[in-house]
Amino acid sequence: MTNSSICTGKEETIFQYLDDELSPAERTAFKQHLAQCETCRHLLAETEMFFADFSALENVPTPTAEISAGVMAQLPSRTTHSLERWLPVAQLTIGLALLALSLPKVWNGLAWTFSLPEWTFPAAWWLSLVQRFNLPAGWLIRWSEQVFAHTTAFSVLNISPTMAFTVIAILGTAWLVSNSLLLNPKQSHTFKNGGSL
Amino acid sequence: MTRHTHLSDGNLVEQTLAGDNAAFRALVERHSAAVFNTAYRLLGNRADAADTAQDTFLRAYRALNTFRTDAPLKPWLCRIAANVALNRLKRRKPTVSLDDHPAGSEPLAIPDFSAEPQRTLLRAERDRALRQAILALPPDQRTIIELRHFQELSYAEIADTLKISVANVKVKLFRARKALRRYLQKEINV
Repeated sequence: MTNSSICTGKEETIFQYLDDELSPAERTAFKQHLAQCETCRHLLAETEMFFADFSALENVPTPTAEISAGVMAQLPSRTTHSLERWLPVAQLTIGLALLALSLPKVWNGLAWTFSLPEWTFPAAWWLSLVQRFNLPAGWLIRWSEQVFAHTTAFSVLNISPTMAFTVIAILGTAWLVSNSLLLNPKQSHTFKNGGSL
Repeated sequence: MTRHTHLSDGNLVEQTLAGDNAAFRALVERHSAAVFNTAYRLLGNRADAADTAQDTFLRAYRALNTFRTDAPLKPWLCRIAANVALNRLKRRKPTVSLDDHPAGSEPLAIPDFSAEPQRTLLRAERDRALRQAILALPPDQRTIIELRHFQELSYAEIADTLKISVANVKVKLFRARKALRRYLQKEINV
């Protein structure tokens, strides 16, 4: 195929070929086309030269002293940022400690005795404290406490209160760990927030 | 030469987070050329580029606790610079066509080349034409060219940075390159 009119649409393919953005199948097909098409080979060579101009663009002289002086004169205090840095660790430690305190109560079967005014379930304090999960978690815990405290037989769910609170504690721990360590968006170095930074 | 000169970017970030602002000064001095030139390619004006570079470093300082010290710092800074410059461009009046002098730009600074007058002249002419052509693109296309050709981001990374689809990146990048190529062919007969 050497007719340039047939190859008109290949310009975008050539861009994507040089950008390494073609799929393996597209790449193979395009290489096969290149082997037969002089027009596209010529266009590819031209495009490589065009792209080389970007790489060859020289830096202009930089007013480093001016930039540095301007930045240093406007730097805010670092103190609050140091606190922010340790806050997730502190949150996680406190959360895990509170959950650990909850588990003996659950395993000793004391969950059975919980009732609404008895806000002694430490996970509820914690979940309210971080103000992330507080509404749904608070409702869930209060609702489950009411159900468990006033229902003699757990026919609704057909599970024991100990099992129910154990599941809640495990899910709560998993949530805390994943949210504080793995899924915290602040840990990402990629520039996800576009122009807001 | 200061006591920070031999430290890695990651070490300097850690020292800055620990309250050592002199470490941050070392980072500014180390990366000011990359950040300033990113802004200059997008804005075409030294004063605006210097302001943008300062703004970039201040934003980076505020967000430094979100930066992973095992990741490279320069691309992160340049992406912030591109975003700051793009925001600045959007606040500017619309640019003019490729045939005119782009709005907000000034006569372009030419780097100081070494000897070899013929090569110097040709290189300077190509650089001037390329900068002029980039500055005449609409802001979004200009930024995409910057992110692809100078920051070397993939289409997916560009889409993520600019919050647009990959298909949209392809369209804008294609249009931008077509316009640049047309301009360069006309200007310096590439």
